[in-house]
Amino acid sequence: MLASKQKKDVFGLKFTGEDIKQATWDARINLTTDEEDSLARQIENIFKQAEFLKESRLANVQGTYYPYMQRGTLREDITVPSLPREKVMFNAPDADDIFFHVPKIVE
Amino acid sequence: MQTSKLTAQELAAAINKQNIHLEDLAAAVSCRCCAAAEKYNAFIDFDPAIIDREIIRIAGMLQNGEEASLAGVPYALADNICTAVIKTTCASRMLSSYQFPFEAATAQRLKENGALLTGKTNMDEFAMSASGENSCFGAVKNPRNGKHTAGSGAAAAVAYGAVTFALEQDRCGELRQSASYCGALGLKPTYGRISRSGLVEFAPSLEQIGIIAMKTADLAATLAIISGPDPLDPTSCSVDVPAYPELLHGKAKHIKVAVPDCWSETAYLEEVIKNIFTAKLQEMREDIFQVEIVSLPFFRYAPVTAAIISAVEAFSSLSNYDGVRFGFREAGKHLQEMYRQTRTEGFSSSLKQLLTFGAMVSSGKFYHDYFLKAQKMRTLIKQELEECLGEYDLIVLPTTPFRAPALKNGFKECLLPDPAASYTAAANLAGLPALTFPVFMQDAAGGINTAGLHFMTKPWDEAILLQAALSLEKINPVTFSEPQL
Repeated sequence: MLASKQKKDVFGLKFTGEDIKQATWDARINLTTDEEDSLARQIENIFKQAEFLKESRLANVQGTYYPYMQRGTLREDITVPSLPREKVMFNAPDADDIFFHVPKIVE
Repeated sequence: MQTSKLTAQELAAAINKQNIHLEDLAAAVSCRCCAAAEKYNAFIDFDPAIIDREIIRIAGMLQNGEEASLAGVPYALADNICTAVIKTTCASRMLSSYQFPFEAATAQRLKENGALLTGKTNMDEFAMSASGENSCFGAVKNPRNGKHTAGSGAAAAVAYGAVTFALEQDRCGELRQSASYCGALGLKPTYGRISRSGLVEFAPSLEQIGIIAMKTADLAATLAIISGPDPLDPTSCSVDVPAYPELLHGKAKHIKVAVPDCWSETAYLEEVIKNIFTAKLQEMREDIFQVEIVSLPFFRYAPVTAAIISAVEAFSSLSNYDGVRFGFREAGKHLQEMYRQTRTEGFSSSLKQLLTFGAMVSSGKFYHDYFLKAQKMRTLIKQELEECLGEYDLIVLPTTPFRAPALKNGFKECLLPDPAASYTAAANLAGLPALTFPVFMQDAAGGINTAGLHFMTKPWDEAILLQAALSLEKINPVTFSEPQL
């Protein structure tokens, strides 16, 4: 098991069980101990293989966020009807005719 | 008439001339799809009533004299491409009863051209990989060997001859890997060639809808219909769509092909794949291909680069699955607990690990050291490939380093990076069109090994991929997994 304080030193960058715990909170997900261990092994693996990202030649390179830049994606400002309310609510796990129902925000 | 042996255009012509009756077609297609569902788990909830309804719709089109260039051509959609008539589950518990309110742009275009939708195919949850084992509806078996994975139900359905073609998403090569495992052709068009409107997003800067078929002519006919800009997808491009089927009738031209020198250094590369690839390169040299070895030093970094970018985008894209407005919900005492319980119970173990990795690399120190640098490496990989393709018509590699893996049915790790994407991820990073062509080779024990030849080319030049596939098809006939009765 990857103890939360144990540091994994991979390519000079440390990650700990705390980092994984924080990430599960950010992702709003619970992982079992087995899943955490499995993930830690995979992260160690990919961080080792990602050593090429240390290359200094990357310093002055612009990132690519989409393969091709688009121009003029604006379209005519034409009013169209919204989806009917029953279609919007159709897939809701808990709703009435108007509102989605959720539990209270605080405990 | 053996309809599964006809090309899409031949079948549509026969339907339009009423040489084949729609009722007979429906019976034959239902029977094949039902068998693909039962034997290989290729479909999710296959329902013959869907085919019956489609037949009534197509008959109405023909009666009204509407143009139907794909009249009656049976096809399937991967279950992350939405339709208004069949639920879209993404093979996930999270969406197991989700009904999308619109048609995906691709499904709409096929509908308008009279194509026959048979059903939604099984896949890994949210198409996160092509393991074929990570679906909440069970594993997809390979129609050429049931103990091995098919990668996806779309590939299995096509290779079995249940449908003429299938549409599926390709994020790091999943479509091409599945097609290669099953011995089918798979085409990932240029990023922006086909609208992604109605595709459930996972990693939007990498993924593209592609086509699986058993004949080059069917890839061409389908591509011609579903390509083109769409106002609902701002990443779709206004680039001319050639008449692909007509282009295939031209005289085959000489094709200059580059082979990256690092191809044999890939981890997990099987000796069988090495031998098949070497033999096929020799065969290509004797045909219309001029093959040369080139150095592409950044190419080997593509799978890791794509894995990092993909995880971060998936973490963002799947953040709205919280049990409030749609999909699965698990109860919680308060809102935060409900979010967490819903996502914990709704997603599979592998996907949860991937999303956790995505969350980690999206934050703090990891963001700058991994995600931003991966985007920079993406630029170098793209530039390198484009420079190479300025000199050569195609880049060729094996599609996967190994044959279809055996089904495991055990604990599923989230592989970071996925070794199956070793050769395919670069095309997604650079947005290039790519195609896998199936090759078969008998081994010493008499068994048939199935693999894929993987081609990449310049943006918007899908035509040359199709021309190369057609040339190969003449010397390497593509056969279904079973004789078509």
